[in-house]
Amino acid sequence: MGHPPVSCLLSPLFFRWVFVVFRSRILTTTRLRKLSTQALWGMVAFHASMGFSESVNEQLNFFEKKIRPVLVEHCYECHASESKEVGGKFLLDSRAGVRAGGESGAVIVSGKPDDSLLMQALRYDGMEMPPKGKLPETVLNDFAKWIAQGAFDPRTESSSNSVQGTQDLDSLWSFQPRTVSPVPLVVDQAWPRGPLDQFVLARMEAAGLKPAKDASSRVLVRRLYVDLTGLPPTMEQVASFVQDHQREGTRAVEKLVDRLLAESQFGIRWGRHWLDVARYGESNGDDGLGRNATFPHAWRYRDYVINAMNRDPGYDQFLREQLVGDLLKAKDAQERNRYLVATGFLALGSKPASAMNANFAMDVVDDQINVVSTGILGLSVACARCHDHKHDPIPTRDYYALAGIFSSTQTLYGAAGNEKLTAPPTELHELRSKLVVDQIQPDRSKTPVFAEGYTEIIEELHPVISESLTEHPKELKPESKLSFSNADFATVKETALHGEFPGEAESYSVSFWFRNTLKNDARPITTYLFSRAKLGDKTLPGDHLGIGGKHEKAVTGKLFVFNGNDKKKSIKGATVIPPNSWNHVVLVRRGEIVEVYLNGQLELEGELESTFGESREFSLARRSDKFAPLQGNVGKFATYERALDRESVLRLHAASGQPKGIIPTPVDGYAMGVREKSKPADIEIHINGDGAKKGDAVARGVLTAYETLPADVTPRFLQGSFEVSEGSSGRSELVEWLIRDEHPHTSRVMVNRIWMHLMGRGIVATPDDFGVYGARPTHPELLDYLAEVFVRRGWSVKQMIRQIVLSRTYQLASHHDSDSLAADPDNLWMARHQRRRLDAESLRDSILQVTGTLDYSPQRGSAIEKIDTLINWPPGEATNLHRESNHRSIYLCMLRHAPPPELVAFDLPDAVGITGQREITTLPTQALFLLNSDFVVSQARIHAGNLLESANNKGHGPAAEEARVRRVFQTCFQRLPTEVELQQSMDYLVAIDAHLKKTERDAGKRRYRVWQNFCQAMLMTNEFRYVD
Amino acid sequence: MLQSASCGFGYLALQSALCQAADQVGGTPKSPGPAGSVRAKRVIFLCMSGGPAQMDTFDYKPQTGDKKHPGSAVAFQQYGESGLWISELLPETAKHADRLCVINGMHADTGNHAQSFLQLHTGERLRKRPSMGSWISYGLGSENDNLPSFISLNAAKPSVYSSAFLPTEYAGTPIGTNGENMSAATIRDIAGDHLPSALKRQQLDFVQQMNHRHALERSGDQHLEGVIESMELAFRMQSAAPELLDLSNETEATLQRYRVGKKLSIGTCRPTDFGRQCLLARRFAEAGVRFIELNHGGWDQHKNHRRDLKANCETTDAPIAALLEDLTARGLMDDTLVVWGGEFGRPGLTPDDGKDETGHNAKGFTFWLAGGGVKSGYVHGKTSETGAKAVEGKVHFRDLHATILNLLGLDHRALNFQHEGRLHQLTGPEEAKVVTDLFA
Repeated sequence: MGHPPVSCLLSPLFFRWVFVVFRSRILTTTRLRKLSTQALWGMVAFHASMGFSESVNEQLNFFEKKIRPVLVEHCYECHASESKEVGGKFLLDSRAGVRAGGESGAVIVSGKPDDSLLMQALRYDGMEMPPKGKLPETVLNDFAKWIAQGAFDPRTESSSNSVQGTQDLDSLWSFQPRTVSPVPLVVDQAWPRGPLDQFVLARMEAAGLKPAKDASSRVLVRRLYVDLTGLPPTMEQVASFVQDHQREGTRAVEKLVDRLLAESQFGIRWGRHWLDVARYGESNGDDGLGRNATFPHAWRYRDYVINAMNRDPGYDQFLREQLVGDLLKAKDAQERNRYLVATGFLALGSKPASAMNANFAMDVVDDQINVVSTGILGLSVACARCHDHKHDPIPTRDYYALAGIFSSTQTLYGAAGNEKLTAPPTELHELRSKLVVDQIQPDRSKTPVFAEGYTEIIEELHPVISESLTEHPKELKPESKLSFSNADFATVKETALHGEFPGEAESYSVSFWFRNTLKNDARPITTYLFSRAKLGDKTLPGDHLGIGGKHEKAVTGKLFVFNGNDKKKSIKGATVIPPNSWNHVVLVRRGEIVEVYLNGQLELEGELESTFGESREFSLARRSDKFAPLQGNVGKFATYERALDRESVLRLHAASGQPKGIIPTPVDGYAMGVREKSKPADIEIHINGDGAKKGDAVARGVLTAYETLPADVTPRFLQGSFEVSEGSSGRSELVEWLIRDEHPHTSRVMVNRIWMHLMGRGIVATPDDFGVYGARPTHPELLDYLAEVFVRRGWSVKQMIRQIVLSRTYQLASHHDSDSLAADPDNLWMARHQRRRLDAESLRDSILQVTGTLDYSPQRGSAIEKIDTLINWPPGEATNLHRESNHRSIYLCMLRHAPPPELVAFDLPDAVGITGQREITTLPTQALFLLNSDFVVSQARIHAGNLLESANNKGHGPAAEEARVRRVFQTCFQRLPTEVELQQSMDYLVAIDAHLKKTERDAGKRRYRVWQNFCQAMLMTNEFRYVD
Repeated sequence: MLQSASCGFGYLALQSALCQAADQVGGTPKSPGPAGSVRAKRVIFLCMSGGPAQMDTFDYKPQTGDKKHPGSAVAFQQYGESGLWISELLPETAKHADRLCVINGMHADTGNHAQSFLQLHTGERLRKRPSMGSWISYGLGSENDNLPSFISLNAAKPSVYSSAFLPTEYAGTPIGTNGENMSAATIRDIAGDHLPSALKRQQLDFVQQMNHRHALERSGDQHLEGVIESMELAFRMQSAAPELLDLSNETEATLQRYRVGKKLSIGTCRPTDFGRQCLLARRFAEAGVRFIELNHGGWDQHKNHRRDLKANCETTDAPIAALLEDLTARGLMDDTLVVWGGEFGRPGLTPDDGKDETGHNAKGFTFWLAGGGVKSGYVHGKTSETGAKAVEGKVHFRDLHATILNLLGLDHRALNFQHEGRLHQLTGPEEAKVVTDLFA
């Protein structure tokens, strides 16, 4: 996807282009005819008025509190679509029903209670309703008031999922297609730099406001650094920009912005924003039983997001990777791994315990629906799990249409702390360094016919025992009578062949062919093939070679070697051995190292403590304690009293004339994620959200509200026929639907998120709720303009950021005259920039940068990447899994309900729900963090050390001390102190020194503490923590 | 409001000129405050998580008839003038029988721990809502300038002490969350020995000098002013809170009475140092903290019911008795409401059937109240003969919430908050009843 240059977007040409794109969809023929006479800039499409309405809220409250409960209690029994017999043929359970009336005509005459049949009936005037008894006078008054005020009624129709005619269209603004409005005319034509500014200025002027001054170079550079990288600039960076800015003006800003967008630190800042939406966490969080399982592989998703922000593949592709990465065709292994990791988006949610929870699977699905609907569409669909959405046009059927998609998807979250009460363990995505190709194993279903000379090669390697097992062996002792033949070698079942090594040599090798006829999941362990161990010893000292069964999914059908109950260690292979296949296996022990070759390929190798001791005994076709005997065949058995070298083993296999095995590429790591289930299916509505009672099955699909918007009012966003292709879950169809260019929500929601992070407040103030009760956009035309630009420019997040930060609106000062402040205290009209606090991560990172200890490089992995456990379990035995780190805060271990102590005070999201916008609270616990936390205190100490020990500033006199004060101001605030500040600082330093003299005699140590105190003070100031 | 700018704890912050100013421009919302008669001023909630076995603690169910049925598995005895039946496993609490107001007809909606626990705390099973302590703080504010109005000890997770959409100043301040060691748990960063207190004051003065100048150049920014104020509050908390958390000035006899430091770890019974929790609760109550929640987990005795039950009773019995004793002796019992109970109860064991396992029962269980204007030595409601369900004097969580609010002088319908387009209240959308029968 190419990105047209910004200049093109700002030009009338762009609008001509947009116009062409749009006209077929939006404009009616009559409008087109009119248009031909208008200038391009005057192009008109409709746009709904989207003002705020306090009174709507009031009316709604009135309805919900006073009217609806009475209707439900006293009227629905006979006047609802689900009533056995509808009284008077009219319904009171929907707005449409109330409006339509019944046999006797209109039930309500809006504004006229006395003329309304409903009122007459309630008053027992001619009709008597409800029949059981007249309602109290206060209730009658409520109804009279309600009708007098227009009988406001927010209810959707109860009997169908249509919203037509029942919803206030204004409140459904976000379901309507984007419209391209003409860029408005403004009075102050010199001010705007482009359409964005024009849209903003027009509203500002309408509100009687004037823009504040432009931010100074210093303010602007700090704002840009923090907004784009999460870090303040250094003093040198400020100085350099200020110089450029004075010389080159806006060109200098462009250069800086382009440089910051290209920095790797950009992805860290903006990746974190997305992680808030993606409810990213590295543990499950309390599952309701106090258990909190680690997610040791979640960090890969974090790295994926950081990387994606830096790559900027387009938001559409970004979503595609996260929803269906497992289904995308990858060009190489790296891309394949990236795609798999991306699907972690759907897997890393917080889950309630599975113990005594029949709905666990649906709880996982619920989290997925929630992150997709709230995170991507800005709509809460999750309420519809139990009932039709109370205010948004989202019926329960839609929920289960989506649920079918996710329940046809397998969620891979891993071991869940190895605690089944928390969640049943699942597999994980396996990451490999090679794309898996041509992995078809040769056919081994027939008894091998060995090449001539095979026996000679076996002999050439000087075996201790060599038995072909086509006839009764000489040096092996079958436990029971067996059949031996050329066709099948030894056929075994519930038996074993015993033998001995001649000595106690620590190294040995054994080679044989086998066929296992049991299915790989038939038993906990499919079979044991060979034990070098004292026969019958229950503690199993020795080497035991077997094939894994259903006991451990990761080893099912794969070879492993186990070293007994004392050491309890095993090493495992990667190849699944199909039942009924003939395979050649060679086990080599070389001291403490074990290697196993399968069909002439090294299958597993590793250190495994030798435990057979002095025993020379071995058991073929069963474990030494008679456990898990082989059902099948063995042949061409040979032992060697030494470790065969690799070359010999390969030669041994080659001589058999049988095809070599294909070794799967080893697994480099694991990732959480999703993949398709083998049998995707629609699911039934769970009545009241409970699996115990089910309704109809719903065809997998997407939200229907777009379909049901009245066609005469607005052109619909047609979803077309959403059809899930045979055998697939429907995720692909879902994501392609989400990222359709014309989707009304996806682009608006993302553009709004970007705007919010840069401007401090969204155009829609509720970034996760574009529904009926979410805020209305303050600048609807601007929102649509930006969304359109976003889509047309290949959904590039960086380009959108660039456009916004280069606007004059973004670059305003945060200070304004008091009249303007008073006129718009919440800064709805953006006549000034919004001052903001550094968030938790930026505060810590800024402190580390000031003290010179920040490590800008990405941190690999996570403190818990090898830990599958329950956090702080059992209770009272708290374990601290966090590790000290000087990397950016995004890399700290984000355990749910046990967040990193350096960040927890400053409104870190709990990562259980979607957090499009963090809280900004001011609590004493935050001040306590600055006053007393180990982190701040120790960083202040480092800062003091830097000041006192820097080679070029060792002086003791007042001049040197003043230089130090200047230095601290520069590192913390990127400016010099004023005269007053300098004096106050010096006075303060003297005062502390005097105070410390009482207890600290050592002048050197005292000085250190004085400066530590001073440096900490600077980190505590609002100037350090707030960005103008 | 988009950015919940709030300034400190409870009414204290509201009292400051600063926040009054904030109110005028739509800042921190105020509640209507107490309206009815005030019977209690503060609440100590002894939260017994896991589902305490009511039939082995306060709801005596002896065998009736010939056929063995589920009932009490331990011996009961009548205590005090009131003759309240109490389990032999709670001998110390039993000494206060005449102070207790036992509700045997409790019922809830679900036997799922997480959901019922949330409903007990917030009135809502599925979504994040303000905790009872937050609602009460919002309704009444703080009695102490230097302390938070809502403190939650040994809580499992933030959702049970969260202020949700209420202003954050009403959020619970946690002490020891997520399995921290309760014998050492404290308010995070409440103390630091890197500087003597006087120097910290000097340091803060210097910081505030900078902050005032910074704010002056940016006049009209309420947020910056709010930070300045909250730093002062934090500074005061530094001296007030550690003193309260430091039990070294308590006598050995007191520590012994409360069983401070005694930590049983048997089966489901977890080492929560409930003695320290109870003693801290008394000290916080004395200092004017509005809502204090204590937590002892481990009542979820699925297996080894008898053994774990005994351990849970032993862990909580003496500390609770000591708390009731001290509250009485110090004259705090009259206006302190003590609440005991968990998210649901358990079915009873059937004698001689060889089983020692119990599950969950939300259809009938027990809470008790004490002090704060409730009847003493009184039993309200009852469960069926087998204790399977509440049959008389039924009290739902929302009724309990409404009753607690009423005792504090708050009307549960009037104590509401506008959020997402509708009014929310602790008791939820369904009608709740105030159980006036419990009132003294």
